[in-house]
Amino acid sequence: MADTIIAQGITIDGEISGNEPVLVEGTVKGKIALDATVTVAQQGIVEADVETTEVQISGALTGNIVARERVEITSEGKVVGDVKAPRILIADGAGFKGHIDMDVE
Amino acid sequence: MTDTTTIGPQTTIQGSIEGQGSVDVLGHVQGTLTLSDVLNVAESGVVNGDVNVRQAIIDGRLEGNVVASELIVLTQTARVIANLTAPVIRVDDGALLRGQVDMDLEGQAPEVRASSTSSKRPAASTRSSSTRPSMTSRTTTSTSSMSRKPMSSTPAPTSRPTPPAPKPAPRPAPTPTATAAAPSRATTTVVVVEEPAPAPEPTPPEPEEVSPAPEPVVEASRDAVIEEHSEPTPTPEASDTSEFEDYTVKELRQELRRRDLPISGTKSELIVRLAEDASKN
Repeated sequence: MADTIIAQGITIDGEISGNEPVLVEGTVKGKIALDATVTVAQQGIVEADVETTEVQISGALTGNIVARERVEITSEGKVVGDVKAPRILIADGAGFKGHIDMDVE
Repeated sequence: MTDTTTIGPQTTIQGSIEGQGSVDVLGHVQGTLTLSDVLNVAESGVVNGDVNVRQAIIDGRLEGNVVASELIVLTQTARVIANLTAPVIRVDDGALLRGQVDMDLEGQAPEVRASSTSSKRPAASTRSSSTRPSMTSRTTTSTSSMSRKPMSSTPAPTSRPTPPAPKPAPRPAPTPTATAAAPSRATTTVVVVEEPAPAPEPTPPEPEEVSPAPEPVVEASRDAVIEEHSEPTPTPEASDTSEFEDYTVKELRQELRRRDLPISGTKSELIVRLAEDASKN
């Protein structure tokens, strides 16, 4: 209840910051910087650089992702951009174009 | 649109929010909000920026201009520094507000006892007396009392001439649309000027010194009548506004600052405010 929800039909142009989970069903452009999970729902569109703990993408995301824990692109998700995280999951059917850095060394 | 958009209490958004639907702000928003529906600013919510919505329900803090097409409500926990524009504005007991309130007088507002005397002015005055917060009633009551004057003296509900009206002679009989076109803030000066407006019309019972050919003389007769009217002084403010009329906005603001008065508003409002203050001293 206390979480942040960007509903369908709403566009945010700018920066979202904070430390509670954000669910994107609408459109976000700009930047997302959180200490929590970002979830991009199936209809959600994100054109932003994302810097968070964890990202789960079922919608469309264009931008660079830096996650401290995990990035998951589900089978409905489409990502264009570079991803940097210790754990990255890309489901069967997901779309992805970009560079992946799991910080191997 | 299953969910409403919620900005959680720990979340900050810097930038614009716009779209179809409603937004609940429990956190912090810095930027403009443009919505087709309702903005709710919860008690923990903070909004810094301009708001353009259908309805705005403010329980929290807000700084910026608010324009609502239907309604603005400030509840008792609201802390608002903003200019509010909406057909209906409700301010609850306990709410704090600094800013200008504009209730858009051309909107239909017959829900408060529609009196027989047509036009919008009665509705406007009943409203201002009933719902306005004490802070802002000062300017509005003065203008409404002024705007009543010409109504009683000239039976026809005169249309409000826009100040730069170049040739008032060919203007047809005053219509409510003309009033609607003019901005809702009635300035004292404009209202005083409009008294001569019916003079060039075909009813010449006492056309002062207007010569029979109305058209070329209108400008002159207007000025003459203005001076004439500033002497009998319908109210103390009317005479005093004339002394500030020649000021530029900048000078008016300086003068307001000198008197520790708020400096926001249109030029005519500044003049009224100065005149009121001057008449007090």
